[in-house]
Amino acid sequence: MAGLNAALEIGKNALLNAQVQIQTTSHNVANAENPNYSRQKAPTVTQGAILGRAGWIGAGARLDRIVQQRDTFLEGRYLDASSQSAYYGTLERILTAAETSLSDDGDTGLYAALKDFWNAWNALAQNPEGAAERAVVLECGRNLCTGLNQTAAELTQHREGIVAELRDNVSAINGLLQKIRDLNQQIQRSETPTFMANDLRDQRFQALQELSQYVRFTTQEGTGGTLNVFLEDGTPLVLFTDYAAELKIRGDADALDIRISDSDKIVAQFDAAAEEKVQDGLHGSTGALLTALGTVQTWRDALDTFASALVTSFQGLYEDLQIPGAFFDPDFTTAAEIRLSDDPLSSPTNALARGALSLESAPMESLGNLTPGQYLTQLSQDVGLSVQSASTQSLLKDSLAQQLDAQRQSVSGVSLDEEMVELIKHQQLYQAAAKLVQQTAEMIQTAINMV
Amino acid sequence: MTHNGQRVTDLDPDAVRITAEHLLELLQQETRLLAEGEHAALLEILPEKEALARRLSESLRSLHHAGDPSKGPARDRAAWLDLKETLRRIEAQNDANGRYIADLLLVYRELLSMMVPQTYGHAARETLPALKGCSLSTEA
Repeated sequence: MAGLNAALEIGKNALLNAQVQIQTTSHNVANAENPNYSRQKAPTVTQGAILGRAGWIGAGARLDRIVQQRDTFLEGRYLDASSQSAYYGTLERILTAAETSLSDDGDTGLYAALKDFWNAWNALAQNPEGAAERAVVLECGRNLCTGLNQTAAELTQHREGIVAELRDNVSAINGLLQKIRDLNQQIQRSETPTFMANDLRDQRFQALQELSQYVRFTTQEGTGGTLNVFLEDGTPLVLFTDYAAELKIRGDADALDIRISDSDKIVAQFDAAAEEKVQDGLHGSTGALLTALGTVQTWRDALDTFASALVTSFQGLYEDLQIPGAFFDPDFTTAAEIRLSDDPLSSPTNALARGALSLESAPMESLGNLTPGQYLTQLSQDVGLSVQSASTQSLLKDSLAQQLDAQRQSVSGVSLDEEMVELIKHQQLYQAAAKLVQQTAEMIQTAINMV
Repeated sequence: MTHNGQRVTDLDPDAVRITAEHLLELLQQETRLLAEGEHAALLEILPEKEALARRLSESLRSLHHAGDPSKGPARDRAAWLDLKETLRRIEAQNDANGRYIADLLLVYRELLSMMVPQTYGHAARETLPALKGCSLSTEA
């Protein structure tokens, strides 16, 4: 009877094991479309053995534990690539938007306004007394100033938009860091040395994946299933179940920094006045926003340099020719403020017109020994190059992230074909175990009837 | 040919720019192939890329020997600026492609270093790090 009872016990355990395995397979199938889900398996191990008359007799199988199919190496590389992809994707998006303000096809935009301006001076040089020619010079001068004012205003708007997006990013990062710490707590409570909280780990991976869009980080597995998150320079963002850093952003579009709230450590900063405008320890889309802020500021500075060179060179011309007043108001030398003086052409002469015209082809020291036209062309080319560079990098980093994600999915993703095979296997196992129980019960009944 | 055997085209910034633009197009094609993972096709464009790069390098050297083009007539100055712009684009494109290849190599190198851990030096480890809960389970 003892042997039959053991067989009945083995059959019962096999039934229960198959039930759990079918449940695990169902869970996999239900999550087949969830990209953050890692496939689970419920492998069995032998139960041990009992010493009988014929030696050690097997006692069936038991479920070891439910394990996830994960590859930490691929996950780490994927998160890193995802962060870089987000960096260049964001940089491309922001710079492309800002580029529209500075794009110049030669017929419209600043370059065309400058060309019209020189043409107007050329016409005035032909007829210095002509009222129409004079009016055209004034009109073209005003157009050039307006063009510069508008472009500067648009770039300022872009900068403010970037700062608003940065604030949103910081808020999202803080939310995710808290979520990861909370999940660490739940995982530590739920896990034992044998059983893992697989679904909570999936949720934590999803949070890490979202975080990788905003910052670049490294991870280190802690005790009790916890995960510590650090910035590249080792600044902790999440430690075990106790700590989640809170980032704070201070300042405005001219100077701002992002720091860790409790330690006051600055992790990224932007200063429009500094030579090195951006110091980025965050990367991801947040770092890209800071880099874009620096790039847009550089373009804005270049426009200011251009405006200042125009004002200064015309002022010098008026002084050299001893003409009272100034063409551009000398009190307003930035692109945002440049304007004509109250009486720009008080006494137009042929010498003035020729002098002004000579500025068209004069390399200026403040413009890096380029003529004003060449300087604008170079600025436009710089803008185009920055966008092209960001676009190329975005394409390549995106491709790398996709490749790594595909490799990660090949390990962790659910294959419906494989799950169907598993299902049929477990179904047959269940049927066989049920038959075993049924046959053993009949044998026990026979044994009872014998008495 | 000039008196010292120098090809005339090597001294014309416009002609050199055409070579540079061909190289830029080739590098953009290389970017597309890298992004699409067409690694076999990369080898096919390699000889042409090398030839263009060598030709461009020789032309630029000849241009410099002939005198500073940026101090020549206005037409040459404009052509020289255009050429410089194309060269900057080539540099940026080549840099992006190079960095991508380096990133990809790093992934494979790290993967290999996991399989063959260092046994000597500072980074030496006795065993592979424990991957509790996250390891790839091996099936019987």
